Amino acid sequence: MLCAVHRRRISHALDSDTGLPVAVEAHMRSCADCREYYEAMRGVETRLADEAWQGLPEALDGLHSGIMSEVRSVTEQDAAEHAAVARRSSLPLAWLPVAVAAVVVVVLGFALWIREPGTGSGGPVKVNGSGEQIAARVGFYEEGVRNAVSGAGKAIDGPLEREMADLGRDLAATADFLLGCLPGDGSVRNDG
Amino acid sequence: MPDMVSNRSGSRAATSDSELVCEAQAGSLSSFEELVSRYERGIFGFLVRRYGNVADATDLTQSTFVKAFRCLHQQRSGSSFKSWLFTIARNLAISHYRSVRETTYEVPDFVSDGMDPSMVLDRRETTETVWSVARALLPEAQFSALWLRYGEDMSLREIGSAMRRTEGHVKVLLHRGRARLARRFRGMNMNTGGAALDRIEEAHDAVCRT
Repeated sequence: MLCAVHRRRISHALDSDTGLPVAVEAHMRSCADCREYYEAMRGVETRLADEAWQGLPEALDGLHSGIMSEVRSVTEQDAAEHAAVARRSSLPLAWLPVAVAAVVVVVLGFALWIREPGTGSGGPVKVNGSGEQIAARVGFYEEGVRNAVSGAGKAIDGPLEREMADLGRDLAATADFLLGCLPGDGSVRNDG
Repeated sequence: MPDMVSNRSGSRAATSDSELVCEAQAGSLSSFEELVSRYERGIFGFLVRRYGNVADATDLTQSTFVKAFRCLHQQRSGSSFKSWLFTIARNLAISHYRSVRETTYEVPDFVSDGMDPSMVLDRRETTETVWSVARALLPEAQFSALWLRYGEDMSLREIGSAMRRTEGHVKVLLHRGRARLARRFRGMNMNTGGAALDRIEEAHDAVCRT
């Protein structure tokens, strides 16, 4: 049992690169088995270290270029995937201003139809009030569009906000144009 | 490992691994290439020694570095890049050979071919290296521990980190590997422990359990 303990300490000394403890050396002087064991372990250790890199094939030049080629292709693949993901995620946003504009136009049209009902299907739509009153009403709707646009713009990024501002200006210009087309008595012909 | 660092980018030889890892994490491909230059031979040598197949070792070395590149963001500052790399290489190789279920190396049968004993001894000494015997004889964990210790000159702590084992477990693996090899080489030109080695593993296990 004492030998087993000393051999454990021999193994520990080999692993920790420290010298043999004095007690182990003293034991080995009187124990041939342990002395033999120590020599055997030292022999194996020496061979393991000496022969580690002997006779290994040299394939390093091709290996290095192969590794870096693989790594570069991984980099390019990753970049392509990132670009694809960015494209996919930006596609709905590109349509967002158009969708918002369509909704605004529909809501405006519906609001106009509710507030100024016609006299009958296919007949002339009667708009009450003078040209100034109509202009004030259009200004009210225009303000509504602006509010809708600025509200939508807060939820989206800067470029989209600019787009919506442009759209607001276009709508205002359209409203001005329509005002110019109004006849003097304030009636609008509904051709539908 | 001798001559580990190649001369491809000698100007960066003084830069530490952790600095190179940080630069590579920030997107520097040249820093990663320097890390490849430092460790490609070590990984390749380990895989060739362990499995004896150059083509597989080449593929697995490439896979190791590609995986390391992909997972570089997981590498924490302060931890050893070298240990981490060997962990990846070892796991990839284990998975690969578990799926393939074959190794190309076969232990030469020197005794059963009817040769004269002296010729057998000569042939052993000329063809067998301690590492080829270790590959055939030892379990994967014992072989890897011995290689990281004597092939890569890693500390017990680094080996434990690479193999996900405690230092105590690494010591046991090293001891058992050495003892088995010493017993295997009994009768050759090595003076191994004779009858003492027959009992040493049991004794060592008993001591480790207490």
